Amino acid sequence: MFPAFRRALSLQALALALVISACSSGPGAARSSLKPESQRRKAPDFALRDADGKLVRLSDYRGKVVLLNFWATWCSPCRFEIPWFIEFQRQYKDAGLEVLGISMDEDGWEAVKPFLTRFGVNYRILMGDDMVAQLYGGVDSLPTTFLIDRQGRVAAVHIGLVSKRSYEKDLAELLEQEPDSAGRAVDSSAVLAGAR
Amino acid sequence: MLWILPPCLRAQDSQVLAIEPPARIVAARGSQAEAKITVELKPGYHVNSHAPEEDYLIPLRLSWETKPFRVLEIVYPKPARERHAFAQKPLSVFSGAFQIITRLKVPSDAPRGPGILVGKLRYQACTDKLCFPPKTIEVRLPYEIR
Repeated sequence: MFPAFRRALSLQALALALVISACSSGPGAARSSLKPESQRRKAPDFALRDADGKLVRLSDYRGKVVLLNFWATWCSPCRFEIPWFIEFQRQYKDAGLEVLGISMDEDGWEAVKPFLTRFGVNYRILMGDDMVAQLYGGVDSLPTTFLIDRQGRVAAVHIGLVSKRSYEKDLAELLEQEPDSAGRAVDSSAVLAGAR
Repeated sequence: MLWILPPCLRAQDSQVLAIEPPARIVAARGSQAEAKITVELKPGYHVNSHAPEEDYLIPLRLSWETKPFRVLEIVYPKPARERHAFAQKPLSVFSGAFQIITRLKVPSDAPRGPGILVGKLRYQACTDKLCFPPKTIEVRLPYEIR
């Protein structure tokens, strides 16, 4: 199947899911938590290693919507969200979504790798450090999740557990936006050179 | 890059847990003594108990540099079992104010006089929506051996 067609189908599926969820929701229905475009700022670039030792940069995902999730294996609310992110990655990858997890586990891959296998995590996990946390404002608590638009700008920040519906709403809105070849680059001035 | 998280959104755990300065223990050589450590958590926060039911959770742990005492037992209070939206099973937690009791033995050859017994309290705190990284804080227990 052509990528564009697959992407269109994924967007349709996402739109349908939102229509269904909106119809079945009451007064507590999730509203978009996205910042207006004029208030969005570039997401700092970073370079971190994945479970295979490969150096991954945020700028590798230009033109994609990125769900950047800071988490840890000892964090119960983080573990609660991870099955949602697995689902989002599977369902909306072709529409242009990439989920990236940044683990803040002190015990490193020794703690994280068994978790990834057990939970069947289908998106890329990177090992975080204090430098990347500082780049993103400290990340004092987990989970902390940044939604980054196709132009590499922070469109929303979720601190703590939020509803799955809220993520779906935000992602639908972000995925509807077409990639902008003029402005899709992320801020590379803050690259963490030599990060693990 | 602090613009990423406005101050109102930054969660800080520096004031989540406090330890009341423990009362001085006075004990004779060869006797036993009991130290009470009172811990207080801010409303809305909890820490995992000393015996969480899931192996991935970080337990509350009090430990002591033992000299000149011998630690006989550390007694934690009975944990509460709280339900949270993010966990399928109730969690074994402490919240509010609680006491941890340490039973100590004073060796018969322990040096007489005052001193400070140093301990560490390791904990990992959460609210019903988010968690803070594990933290270790120092506990200082004044004593006098007679």
